[in-house]
Amino acid sequence: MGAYLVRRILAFIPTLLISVTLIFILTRLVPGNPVWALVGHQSVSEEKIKEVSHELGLDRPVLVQYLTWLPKALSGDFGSSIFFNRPVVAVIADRFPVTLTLAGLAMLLTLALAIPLGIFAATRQNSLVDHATSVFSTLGVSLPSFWLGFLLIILFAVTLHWFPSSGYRPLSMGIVPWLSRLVLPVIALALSQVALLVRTTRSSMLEVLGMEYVTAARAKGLSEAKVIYKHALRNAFISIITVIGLTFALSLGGSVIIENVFAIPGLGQLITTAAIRRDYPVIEGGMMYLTVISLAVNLLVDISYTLINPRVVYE
Amino acid sequence: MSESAAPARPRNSELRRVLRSRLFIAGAIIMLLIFSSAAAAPLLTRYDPVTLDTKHSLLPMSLQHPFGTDELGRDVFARVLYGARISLRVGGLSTLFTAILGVLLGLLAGYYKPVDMVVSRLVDGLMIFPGLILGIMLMAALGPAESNVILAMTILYTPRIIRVVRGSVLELKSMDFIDAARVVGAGDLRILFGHILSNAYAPLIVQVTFGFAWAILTESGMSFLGLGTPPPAPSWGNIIADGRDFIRSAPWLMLFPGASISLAVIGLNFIGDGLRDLLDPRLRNTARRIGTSVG
Repeated sequence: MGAYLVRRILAFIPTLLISVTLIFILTRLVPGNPVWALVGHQSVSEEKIKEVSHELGLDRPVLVQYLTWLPKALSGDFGSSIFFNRPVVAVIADRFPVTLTLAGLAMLLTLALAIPLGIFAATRQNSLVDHATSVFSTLGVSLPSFWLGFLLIILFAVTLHWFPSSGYRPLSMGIVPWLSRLVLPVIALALSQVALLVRTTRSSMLEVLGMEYVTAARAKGLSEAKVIYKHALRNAFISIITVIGLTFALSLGGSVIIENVFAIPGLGQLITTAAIRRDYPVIEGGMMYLTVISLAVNLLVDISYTLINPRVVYE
Repeated sequence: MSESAAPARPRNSELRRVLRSRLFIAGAIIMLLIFSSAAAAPLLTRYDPVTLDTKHSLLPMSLQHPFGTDELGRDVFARVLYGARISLRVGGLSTLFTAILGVLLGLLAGYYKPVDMVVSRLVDGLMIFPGLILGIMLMAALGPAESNVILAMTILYTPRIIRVVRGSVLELKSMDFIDAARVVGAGDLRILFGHILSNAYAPLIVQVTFGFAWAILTESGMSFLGLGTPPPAPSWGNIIADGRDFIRSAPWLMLFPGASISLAVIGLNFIGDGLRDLLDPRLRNTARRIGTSVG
């Protein structure tokens, strides 16, 4: 098992390197010079451009730039933000906990709703609940999350005044100000993932319930609850857990849009504004953080496979 | 509970098959409606989607302006109708390019080991970026233009098609009929495009349909962020973005474009679900709607 884990982790290194290299290539594909963004668009003298390019190391050959950039990037050093004039790491450190809170809560809500609902639908196949679940899951993946966010604002903030319409307060300012501003964004973020996970839970549960060993367990006289929760669910979980990992990655990705809808100062909002301002160090750093987290989640999913299902061969 | 899932299954799946093809028909009708109203936009409204009329700004819904007017006095009904053209064009073209590129690279990667080494690594590297992050970065690098949105979305979705096609090739290429074709002298090209592709089209077509739904959602999301189809083009995402400042005073501004996006995506998802069951019932549990939750 130990050797297997080491090998799994090693296998992620090429993927990480490719992603990091892609980040480098993409930010240097730019038709416009990042220096323009830095010193302001118009009426910049050639001298000034040369000076700033030299400061940023942009006048050196691309390969040299890459080789000096790579070790720094891998150690998390992306230089200073052009816009904020602060180290990128410090800017990201302010925003990252906010995004993790949002994505984490969305994932918890997704798990709490989708798994019971999926099991319920599978054990009552073709019942009213089952059909309603199926309609819901088609709708859930079809609504744009930002539009859903606005609908929630119109209904629960503007009309009913139940929750604030936007903004963020840290937990240190009290649990009510913190949570009340997170309720609507978390719902908007979670809906499509609930839809996805309900569908997966239901179909993997149905697949398992049709297997012979479940029939054998029933024939043995076990109670239906024991058959479902002890025997069937354990096996159904193997495909469910992939989607849980996917759900977290989707929450991180989806938070980019939701943070912009609800004016939440997280990493996603940071990256979007950095993209519009062409603040490349911040874009690189922000993407790097999200990518590493996403990789780590993938790795955890892989490992949990082997923990849940001992039949997986460590090859 | 006493009615266990297993024995009831065969009859159920017949029933489901019929229901699903009804889904396909429902989806096809929805998409036909959307396509034809986009095509007939000049017949359905006499307003121009980009002409300003500031004297009549932010009017509520009325017979004259069924969806109201925006802050610059533009008729929202006209904008949604003409916007359908943009959203369908951007989504459709990127889906088309995705399909072509994905099939080519997927076939080559599945068939030739050395190609696979490169392509699969690149696919892994591209697919690790969560959500729209890669799209945002591409748009920041390429700059705002409709063609760049199409390019960015093609780069985002092609890896998924490559994976589907590559998987089919790997499954098919060791089968007897491929060996038989080789024995009678068929070349690699003939085997790839004649024999393998013709047997792998079912999962491909399903994935491409979901890809179209994904593209419409993603285009709207990127336009909403200000990194998609550049304004004043009335893509559905842009109309919503325009309406967000008036969410209190004129909530109808974002209601209709959002409903249009949802309707188109539901239609395409219905078609995808229906096709999946009609073309290949074995796929029912394997080809899942992926990535449609991005927008």
